[in-house]
Amino acid sequence: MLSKVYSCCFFGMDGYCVEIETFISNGLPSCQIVGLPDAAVNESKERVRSAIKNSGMEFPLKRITVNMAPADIRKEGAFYDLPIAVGILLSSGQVEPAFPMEDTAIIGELSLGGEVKKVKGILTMAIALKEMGFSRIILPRDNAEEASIVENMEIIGIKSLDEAVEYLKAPEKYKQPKKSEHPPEAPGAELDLSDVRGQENAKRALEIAAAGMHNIILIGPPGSGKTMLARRLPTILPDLKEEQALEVTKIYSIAGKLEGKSIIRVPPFRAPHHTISAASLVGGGTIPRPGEISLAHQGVLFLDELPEFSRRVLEALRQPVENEVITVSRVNATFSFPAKFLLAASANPCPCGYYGDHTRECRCSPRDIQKYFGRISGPLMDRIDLQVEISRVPVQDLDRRKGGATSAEVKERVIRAREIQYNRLKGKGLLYNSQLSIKDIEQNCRVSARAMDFLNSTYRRLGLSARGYVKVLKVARTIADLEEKGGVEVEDIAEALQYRITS
Amino acid sequence: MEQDKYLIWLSGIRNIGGIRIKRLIEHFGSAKSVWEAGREDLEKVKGIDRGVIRQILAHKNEARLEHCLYSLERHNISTIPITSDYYPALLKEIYNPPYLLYVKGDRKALEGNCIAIVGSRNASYYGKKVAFKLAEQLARAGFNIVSGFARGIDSYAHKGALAVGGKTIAVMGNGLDVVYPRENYQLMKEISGGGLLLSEYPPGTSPLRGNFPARNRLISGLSLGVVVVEASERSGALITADFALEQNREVFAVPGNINSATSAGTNNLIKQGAKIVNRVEDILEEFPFAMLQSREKKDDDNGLIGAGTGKTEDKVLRMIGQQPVHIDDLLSESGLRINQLNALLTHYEVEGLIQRLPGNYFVAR
Repeated sequence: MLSKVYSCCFFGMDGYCVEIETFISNGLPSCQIVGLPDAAVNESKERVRSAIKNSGMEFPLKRITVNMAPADIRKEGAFYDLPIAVGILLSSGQVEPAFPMEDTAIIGELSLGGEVKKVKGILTMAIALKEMGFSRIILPRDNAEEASIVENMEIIGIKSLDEAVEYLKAPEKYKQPKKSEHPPEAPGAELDLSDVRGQENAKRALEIAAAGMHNIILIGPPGSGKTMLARRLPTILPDLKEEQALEVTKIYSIAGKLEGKSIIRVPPFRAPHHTISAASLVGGGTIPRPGEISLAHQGVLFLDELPEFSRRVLEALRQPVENEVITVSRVNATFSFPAKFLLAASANPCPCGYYGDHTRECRCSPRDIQKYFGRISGPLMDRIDLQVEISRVPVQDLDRRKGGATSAEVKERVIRAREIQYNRLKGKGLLYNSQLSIKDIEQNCRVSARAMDFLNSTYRRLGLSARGYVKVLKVARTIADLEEKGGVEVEDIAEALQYRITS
Repeated sequence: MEQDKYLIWLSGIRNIGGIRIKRLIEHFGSAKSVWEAGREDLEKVKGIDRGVIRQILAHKNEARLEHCLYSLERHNISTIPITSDYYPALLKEIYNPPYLLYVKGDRKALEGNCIAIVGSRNASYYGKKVAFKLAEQLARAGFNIVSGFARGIDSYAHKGALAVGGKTIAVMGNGLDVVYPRENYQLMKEISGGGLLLSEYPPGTSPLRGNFPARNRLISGLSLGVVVVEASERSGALITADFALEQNREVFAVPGNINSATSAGTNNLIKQGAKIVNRVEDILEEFPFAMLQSREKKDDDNGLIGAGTGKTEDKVLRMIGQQPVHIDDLLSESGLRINQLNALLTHYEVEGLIQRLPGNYFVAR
């Protein structure tokens, strides 16, 4: 007898419907899965056999063929266990569904005892299934909350194969589990910009970076607070808008990193260690999974000790920083993950870390220092707009220095500056000043004649390159936006020059 | 020249210093005869033991000597033996003067009165500036500036002298065809034009660690006095000061901030009795002849470090003095907002009133 159930798979950021047909015929007892299953899928027959038996039902001693269509996409992962099991039960006549199965999708991994386990990527699959017209998903209870973000979709969270069968027989008996009330999620709520004493200069740079989405590099000796500052960057970024939040949550869902959250509304912060490989930074795998840069989507990617990252890894960053999306090509397909993030980097002023420090002697030659910064390629450095130098605050001075503005106050200003930018740039399809090209600057920056004269007369004296010139203009535009000024004045240029890239 | 050739050979042998060379030449009459001497002849010389003889004989290699001569010619390096009139008289007075000097540039630099300016390689902005200014003013007063061509203070001393068209002598711890440190390549070219490069090592000698203390004795040996501008507690510049005392030369030290690691050595020197230098006159008055000379060339630029910006009406500018100030301190003391302060600092920087140092410190220029 033939049965058909629907499930789902995902590729990159997109979900596809998978039809699972089960046919049971007379013959030597066997179970075949066809339709390009990978190892995990092929092993599922063992789990299914055991789960069915342990749930008090019968695994038919007949010739079972399971076909997964479309047959040309490789099926990966263990979440077809539940639909296969249901398919076998339907086709052997042990279960008679009380409703038509055409608009129901089934997803879930089985244990040998018949429990249903949590899987990755539920949100992506749920969104895709909704778009394809499904109205009901039977999925692991632990994933129910994640999927419940999708509206107009009946989410059936079940804990075991038994429960799934119960539901199919008598859907009216199913009780929607109570929604656990998550407190409004705000990781890093314990962090605040005012935790950092002094360093007003650096905080101001972070504010500008956040307002205009300017990539930033913090340079300072060990223990000067670079990491502490960078960690507080997400606290001054505006909360994610609905569609941004959904996109970010989707990425985390695919990566299996949601950790019980239903939807992510706070800009993420990712700080991979410098030994990271290029594949885990940008995304990889035979069926690519999102890398750190995608996990930092709409948030902050913090690369501590930038020159220590391997050259290959840093070069891999160039394209996504420019295009705000990472494209990973594999033999069978090309995958794209969004990767629009604010790059924050930190570096020591020299290999030993004490160049410019007034209490410790630096042991590096000018050549050592040149070599150290030489590890960051020019093209990557070109994509960083702001540089701020930080020095250590002596412990006895810490009490004297003030905490300054709180994250909430700064965030307020950032949000306003973002709005101003949005209104000015919406005609161009841009969002932030950092996206401006040279041509756009002329039309959009509204630099006053005096300010232009000032920049022209000084940039050579301060040793600025042509690229540096453009960066100063963009940063000055953001500064003017923070002050809610229409045009860029001399003061804005002068302030922007303090954050120019010098190394 | 024939005589010189064998002298070059003899002085190029490691472990044979000025004293042994002198003894050998006195015994045999000339360097050439030393070359021609056999083992038995050499054994007769007093104070020359077997080890030394083995080295002399092992080093007797016509091809190697020819190569050395070729390098000298190619790099325009000439030699001054201790017997020459060009050999600086002051240097002859020290214990163990080199028998042969290798020089490149203007030999006349050796004739004038020399003062050494030395200090740390890891110098602060303050130290570099003082070294430069002192060199400028001493050079104007007619002194030739001797230093060790190292990074930091040494380089700035040379540059200061060159800036006012003065003469400067760079005493190196390596062969004169070797550029060390590498980033001083340009400076080396300038000194060989307007000053003199000097070394006791033959061409091709690399900058070995052990060469530098020995070189320091030449720096002080050439000079009437040694000015230590900045030195940490264990700086090589202090070795030069020790040699200067041993050689009966004046020792001067520029005081520094008591908290500054790079001035710990100089402050100690002052404690031990080195003459404190606040202005160039503090040095000149020890050399009355120079005092007279400099009075003729009096000019208004007498402060060692810029007059500072103390007179200005501007609050922020007044806070930025010779000691680097951190931006956080400027911010809290001025009461300005960070964006105003940043803009102001850029203006001052552009006008050349202040200088930004690494780590967001600012000093007056």
